[in-house]
Amino acid sequence: MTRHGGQPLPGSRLREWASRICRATAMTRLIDPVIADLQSEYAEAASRKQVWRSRWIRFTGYVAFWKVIGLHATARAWPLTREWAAADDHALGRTLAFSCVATGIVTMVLMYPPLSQIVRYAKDGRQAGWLLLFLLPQAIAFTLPIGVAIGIVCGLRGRAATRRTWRSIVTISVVCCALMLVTIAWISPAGNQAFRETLAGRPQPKGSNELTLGELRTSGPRFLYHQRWAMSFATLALGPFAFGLSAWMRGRFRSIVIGFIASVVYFLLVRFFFVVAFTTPQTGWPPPFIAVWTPNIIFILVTVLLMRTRVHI
Amino acid sequence: MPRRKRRMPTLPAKQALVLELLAGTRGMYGLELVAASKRRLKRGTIYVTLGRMEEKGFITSRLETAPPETGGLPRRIYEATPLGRRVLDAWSHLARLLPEFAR
Repeated sequence: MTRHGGQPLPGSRLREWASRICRATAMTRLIDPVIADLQSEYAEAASRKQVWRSRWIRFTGYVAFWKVIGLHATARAWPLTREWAAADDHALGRTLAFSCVATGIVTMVLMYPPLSQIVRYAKDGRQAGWLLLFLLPQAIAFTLPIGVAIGIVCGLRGRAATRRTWRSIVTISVVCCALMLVTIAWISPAGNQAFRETLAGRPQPKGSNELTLGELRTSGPRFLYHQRWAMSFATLALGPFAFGLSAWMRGRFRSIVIGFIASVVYFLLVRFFFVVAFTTPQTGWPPPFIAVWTPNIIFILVTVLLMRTRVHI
Repeated sequence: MPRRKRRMPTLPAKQALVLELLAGTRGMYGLELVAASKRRLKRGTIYVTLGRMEEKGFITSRLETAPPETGGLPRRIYEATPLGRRVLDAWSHLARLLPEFAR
């Protein structure tokens, strides 16, 4: 049907693609008129052998098509986001806001002790600024999971634990998990190396803490490789745990305090099992892989327990 | 139940222009409207505007059969409905009375 001189008429494939994602009304009212006008205009120019004009029509027609798709998607998405926010009682927005504030505060607290050391060793204020910046990714690897956990218990305070809220929390945790992986696998080792070289004033050989995830896989200590992966999943262990805790305690103020303490306990466990994994070659048990994942497993089990006992979402 | 704000009904400038262009004709298709508007209507946005106006009942549309030699999809011809014409009249009247409001 849509062939002109052996060639498919412009817009046929776009229409086919749009028909898969757009509703019938959108197709009738928006997509089909754009394509129909494009095809008619193009066929008219082609029949007059106006090659450049037909190319121009094709180009402007495609631009118009994408503009229509963009406008339609925006118009459809805007009420959806508002509906989503209203339906989950703005828990997602509150959680995000509280998580950002909590992460910022915990990062500042964590960065304060090295700051005094940096000021002492740095040559000038500019170097001190750079050194502080190089240490930041390392701090964020710890503060982001704590911030997310506190953000969730604060954001959900006084809110009902619904399926939609649960999905919001899982989404936040997954996104933060990806951020953590990028930070721990690549940014933090690069920051550490830059910190050492800036302080020494000359190139330094890489230590195990300065190796990226890829380098660790091939040449570094095995337990460190597993530990980086396990740490990246900290938000995915702490986020749902904070949700379970908040729902279990029905959003009372105490849940914020317990959430904070639990986050600290999580990192104490991480440190403990890190030492356990470090000493595995001497003791022979447990395997480093199991040791470094244990804190995550413990928190996931506690979350399951919380959800099964008290939460009905 | 969500509270709805009571607002003065408005006719956006583009929709008013489309109604003006369609008022004196027996129907136009999207690109014809763009051409007739002397660049005041854009090719990328005209279809969205027409879709919204059709939803509101200001215009109606029908399919024009494509010439068999060209093939392709039939074009959609738009016409102003009696409601659309009344809205345009009312809006023009309001624009004369309250030019600041109708701008």
